[in-house]
Formats: sequence, structure tokens, C-alpha cells
Amino acid sequence: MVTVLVIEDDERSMELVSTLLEQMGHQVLGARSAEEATSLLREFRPALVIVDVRLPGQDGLTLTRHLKAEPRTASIPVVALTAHASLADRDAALGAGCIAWMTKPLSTRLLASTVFGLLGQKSTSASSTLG
Amino acid sequence: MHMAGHDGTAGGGRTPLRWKHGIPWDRLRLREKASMLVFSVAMMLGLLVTLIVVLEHLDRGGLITAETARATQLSLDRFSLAMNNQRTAVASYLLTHDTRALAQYRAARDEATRDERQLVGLAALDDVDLGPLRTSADGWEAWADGAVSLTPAPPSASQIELGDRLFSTLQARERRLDRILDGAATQAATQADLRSGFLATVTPAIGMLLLGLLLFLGGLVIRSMLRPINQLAETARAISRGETSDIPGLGRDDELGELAQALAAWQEEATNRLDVARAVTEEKDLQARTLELLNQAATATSGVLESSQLGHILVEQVGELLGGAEAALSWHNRSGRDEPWILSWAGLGPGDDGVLGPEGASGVVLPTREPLLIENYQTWPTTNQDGPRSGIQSMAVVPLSIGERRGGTLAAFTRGSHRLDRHDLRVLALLAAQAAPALEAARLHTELLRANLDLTSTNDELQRASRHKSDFLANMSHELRTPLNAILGFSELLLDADEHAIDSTRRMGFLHHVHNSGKYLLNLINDMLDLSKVEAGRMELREAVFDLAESLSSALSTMSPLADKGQVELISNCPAPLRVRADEEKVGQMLLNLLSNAIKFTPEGGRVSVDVRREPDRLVICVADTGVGIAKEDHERIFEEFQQLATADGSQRQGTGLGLTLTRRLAELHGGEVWVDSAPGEGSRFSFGLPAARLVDPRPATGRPRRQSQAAKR
Repeated sequence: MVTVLVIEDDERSMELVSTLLEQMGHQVLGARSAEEATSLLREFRPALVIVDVRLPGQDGLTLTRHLKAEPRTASIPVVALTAHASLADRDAALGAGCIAWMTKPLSTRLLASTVFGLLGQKSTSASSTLG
Repeated sequence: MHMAGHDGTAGGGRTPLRWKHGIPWDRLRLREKASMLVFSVAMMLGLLVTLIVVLEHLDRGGLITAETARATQLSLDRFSLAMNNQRTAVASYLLTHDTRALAQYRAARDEATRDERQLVGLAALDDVDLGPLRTSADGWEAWADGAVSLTPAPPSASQIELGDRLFSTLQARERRLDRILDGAATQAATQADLRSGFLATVTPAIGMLLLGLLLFLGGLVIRSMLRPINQLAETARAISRGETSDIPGLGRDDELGELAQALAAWQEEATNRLDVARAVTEEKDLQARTLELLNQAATATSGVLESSQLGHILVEQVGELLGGAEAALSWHNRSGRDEPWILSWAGLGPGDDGVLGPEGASGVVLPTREPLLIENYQTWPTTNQDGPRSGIQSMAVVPLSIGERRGGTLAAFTRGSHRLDRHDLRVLALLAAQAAPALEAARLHTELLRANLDLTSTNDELQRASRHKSDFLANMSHELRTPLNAILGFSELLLDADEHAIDSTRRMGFLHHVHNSGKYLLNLINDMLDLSKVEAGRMELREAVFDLAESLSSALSTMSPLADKGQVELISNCPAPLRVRADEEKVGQMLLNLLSNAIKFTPEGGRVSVDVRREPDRLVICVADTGVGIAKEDHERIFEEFQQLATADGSQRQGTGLGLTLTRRLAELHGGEVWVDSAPGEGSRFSFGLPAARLVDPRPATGRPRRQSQAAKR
């Protein structure tokens, strides 16, 4: 079982992403802000980080840069998830060190294939993870 | 020839009368003086020669007398000898009776007679009395003749004695005569010597005296001629040096007087020419100085593009150009007449208000654009009769104009005895002609700067608006995508999932998410449309009179479920009824926005209170909460679109992020405003003010509300 850290302040988006990841058989750690994510990262080492760009307080890209600068977390792939959909936003995200960039509204299939491509696992039993 | 003519005229003008007052030496002409000198010399010489000749003649006479005396003496000697020879011959004959002796006697007698005659002739010259001598000689000769005639009888002794006695007398008389002659000769010789000595002494002395007199006279004449000539020569040199001096001898009647008059004429001519030349030089110097100053002014003002600084320089330049005159400058810095004047001045005091204003001299020059010279300001009839004249003596005012534009005036004035003249006016006009383009350049520069500034600010505004628009669109996109994310994501999830993969509870939850997101999206779109209507000025208020207390109570009941859910106490304090004329729906919208925000940001157990109070000029509805509060720097930002703060519990954001923006816009549409008073940890008080004019009197007056509503419309 692989742990994925989702950082998202919008509750519905968080639930949507979590549901999808859990259906894929991953364990989801949820954080509502970059600060909360940072404290979680002190205890856990997720295989993947999915981060919303616009967050209250520190924004997602700044957090990404910090993760990339930290040797312990630098190797964790980060996927940016944002409602800011311009090319400049994409470049900013990739420049900050994100491996992928996805815009809202989210395509569940694109998220699934991206996460699969990054983690190489697919849950056989989605229901078992939805406890 | 010229002098001869003068001579004749001068000679003709002389009257004999003047001669009565002695010799008018200065009135004699030089020619006359020279003639007199020559005449004097001739006279003196003649006198000298005459004197010498006379003296010589006198001397000669003396010499002749002495010689005559000597000749008479010799003749006497010969007579005496002849008488002795007679006596010897008589004596011999008487003794011997020899006839030869008688013959000798006879011969001697003849000789004596001859000598006697000669002697008589000479003695007559000498004025000597020969009478006694001749008597004695005749007596002796008579004795001798008697003695001889008695021969051969011997003479008696008495006869001989008589003869001897007679002869002795003769001899005595001869000796006496001889002595007289000797004395006369000696005296004559002495007198001749004396005369010669006198002549030898006196003649040169007189000559010298005459010569001296001559020299003196000559010197006098020459001096009397030379001195004035020298003076005139000196005067002529002085005149040629350009000096003015008194010409000596102007009153003289002679040639020197004429020369002096000619010199005087020359001097006058020379002085006149010198004056003309000096005036020309002064004029040229002044022109050069003026040009120099004008040039300086041009240099000083070139590159100065600030009107007041330029004015200051120009006013200073006027002082330098016009010998310390004070100056004042008026200049319209804008084309329009109603723009204020730019004034610069030096020395203009509090009493001189009327000088430069439209009422003063400048006001006369400005419309006519004709230079004005007021040589006596004290008597100048200004339109501003009451204005104090403050000791201003004279004034010169020239227009400052560029083409058809009446830019202003440049005035110079003096207070002391110094008065401005036409030359000053001309110089001032030159300066003005030079200054006007500089002032115009400064004016245009100022306008250009202003236009630039306007452009820059317009550009800034446009950029800001453009940036705002981009930001708005980006935010818009974000805000639309967020609910769409839920709608599309959950519906996709539900569509893709196996029928049993998701239990019904979760399925319902997902469907609620989709539904709520759709509603949120609708609210967002409505808010956005409202806002864009307000921004475009197309939002219309549907005004009516309603009870604000009722609206508030309705809003509170709408919000009470949300408050209950968040465990927030809702309190209201509003006088009822409170009739206002406004758009009821919009006011309700604003109340709901403020209330929902307050509840959202108030933690559990908190309180939200609404307080309605009247202020002199407005009605204030204040919604206060006990929430986290808002930092001062965020007070304005929260009224901007999509600027949301974290909610009290960090939970799901509600509202579109346009609520406060819209509330503020709607309040402004009502002629009111929305503001916040808050600090972190102290809760927030959002207030909504409506102008007092919107309050409707409990006893409604017909027509009045209509007018109020008109006034309230944009």
C-alpha cells in the first residue's frame, strides 16, 4: 500500500481526489494547508504528493520548492492540481519542480492514469480501501 | 587777402573819440603798433644822430678859439720881434749915424706895421683889446722918428731915457697881452678837452639810453603781441584736445581779437561736434549695453522652462536694463482667461494692488496690446480710482503676446525722481518681445508636462484596469473551475463506478456535492452579472418605500439556520418601523451578505449582533461579530473581487468572493457606503450607511420621496 499526500483546501475537491485514490488502492493523507502538510511530512513519507496551488497561507508551489530543496523529500514526485489554467501557471508549476500539472475541473481518468504512471499500482479492490 | 579785408573793416570802425582816454594800447591794431615801433626806431635814430652832430659841432668851435689864440700869440711874438729890431736899428743909427742902420730901421718898421695889421686881424677874432699896445707902439715909433730926425745931433740923455721908458711900456704891454692870449688859449683848450670828455661820456650813455628805450618799447610791443598769440595758441591746442576753455582777448579790436573770435567760433563748432559725437557715442554705448543686457537676459532665460522662475529672472533683468526700476510681470499660464495669473514682481508692495491687476495699467495694455508709458502715474486716470498709488512715479507697460495670444504684460515702474522715458519703453518692449516666446515655451512645456502627466496617469489607470481585468478573469476562471471540478469530478466518478462500488449514502453525498456546486455556480454567475451591471452603470434601483426593520427581521430568519449550525447567537436592535425609500431587494441582499459573512467568520459560541442607529446625516446598519477580526492592511482588500480570507474554522469557503464587493457597490448606488472597523482578535464591525434623505417621515409628505429618489439616482 502506497501513501499519497493530498493538499487541498476545497473540501469537495479533497473528497473527490481522496475517493479516486482510495479506489486505486492508495492510502490518502489529507492536508488543508501547506503548513499542515509540512507537519505531516515530518512523520510520513508519502510516495506521491498532490497539491492544490492556491492554498490559504503558503501556496502549493512554494511548498513544492521546499520539498524539492529538502533532500529527504526531494525525490517524492509532486503533482500540481489547480483551477488556475493558464500556460503561465503550468510553467510556474513545472518550474517549481512539479512532475505533472492538472487543471480543475479534474478529469478523474487523467488523474488515475497519471497516478498509475507514477506509482505503477492499481487497486484490485476499491471497496476494501473505503473504510 | 582775407586779413586785408578784415584790416580795412576794423580800421574803418575806429573812432577818434577813443583817443581821448589816453592811448588805448589794446585797441591798437598790430599793424599800427608795428608802424609805431618802426617810427619810434627811426625817430630815436634821428635824435641820436642829431645829438652827435650837435655835440661834435660844439666841440669843433672850442678848438677853433684855442687855435686862434695861439695864432694871435705868434703874431704878437712876431710884432714884438719887429719892434725890438726897430729899437736895435735906431740905437745903432743914433750911435753910428750909419745909414745902413737907418735902412734896417725902416725895414723893421715896415715889418712891424705888417705884423701889427695881422695882429689886429687876429685879435679881432679873439675879441682882444689891442688899443693900449698900439698906442704904446705908436708912441715909441713917434719918439724914434723924432730922434732920427735930429741926427747928427746926439740925443740928449733925457731923450734917450724917454725912448727907453716908452719901449719898456710897450714891452710891458706886449707881455701883458701875451699873458692874456696865453690864458685864453689855455682856457679854450681846457674847455675843448672838457667838451670832448663830455661828449665821449655822454654820447654813448644817451645812445645806450635810447637803445634801451627802443628795446623796452620793442619788447613791450612784441610782448603785447606775443602773449595773446601764445595764449591763443594754447587755447587752440586745448580746443583740439577737446577741452572747453575761456578764450582770451575776445574783447580786443585788433587782429588778435579777430583771431580769438575765429577761435571762439571754432571752439563752439568743435564743442557742438564733440557734443554730437559724445551723444552718438553715449547712444551707441547705451545701445551696446542694452544689447548686452538683452543678450544676458536671453542667455539667462534660455533653457528655463518653469514659468515662475522665468518671471523672477525677467523681473530682475528689467531692474538691470532700466537703471534699477522695479518690475512686475503678469502671465496667463493657460490659454483660458479664467485661469489664475502667474505674477512675478520685485518691489511691489501691499499698496500696489491696482498696478498689475486687470483694473490697473496692465488691464489697459492687455486688450489693446499697445505699449503704454505713464510718465506721471500720480495723475494718470486709472479705472481703479480708489487704489493707492503708493509713490509710484512713472510706469511703462508692454504686452507679452505670441501671435494672436494675449499672454500678459510686463510692467516697469519707478518710485523716486527717476522717470521712465520712451527709450525705456522701447527697451522694455524689446525685452518683452524676447521674453514672450520664452514664457510661451515655458507655458507649452508646462502644458506638455501636464498632458504627459495626464497621459501617464491615464496609462497607469488603463494598465491598472487591464491588470484588474486580467486578474478578474483569472480569478473568474478559478472560481468557475472550482465548483465545476466538483460537478464534473463527482458525476464522472458516479458514471465510471460499478453500481455496487459506491454505497447509496456516498452516492447521495456525491450527488449533493454536484447539486450544491451547481447552486454555488449559479449564485456566482448571478453575483457576477449584478456586479458587471453595476460596473457598467446599468444597474437600476427599483425604489420603493418599505420598512427596513421588516427586511432585517426577514434576513435574520433566513440566516438563523446557518447561525444555529455554527452555534452563533444572533441579536438585533432596530427601531421599528423604519421606513426608507430604497430598492428593497438590494438592501435585503446586502444584509444577507453582511450577516452570512459575520456568521461564517464567527467561531462556535460567538455572537453576531445587528445594530441600527440614526446619525445626523445618515442611517447606519452595523453588523458586529466576535470573530477573528481583520488586520488593518486587509480592510480595503476584502472589498475587492474574489479576495477571501480564511474562515473561522478553516472550513469550506462559502460565498462567491463577490459579496462584499457587490454590497459596497449597491450601497454606493443608494448614495451610501460600506466600511469595516476591525482588528485581529477583536471581531469585525461591518457598517452600511444610507443617506438620511432616504429616511421617510412617519407622516409621509406627498411628492417629497419622489424628489429624494431622483436625487439618489446616479
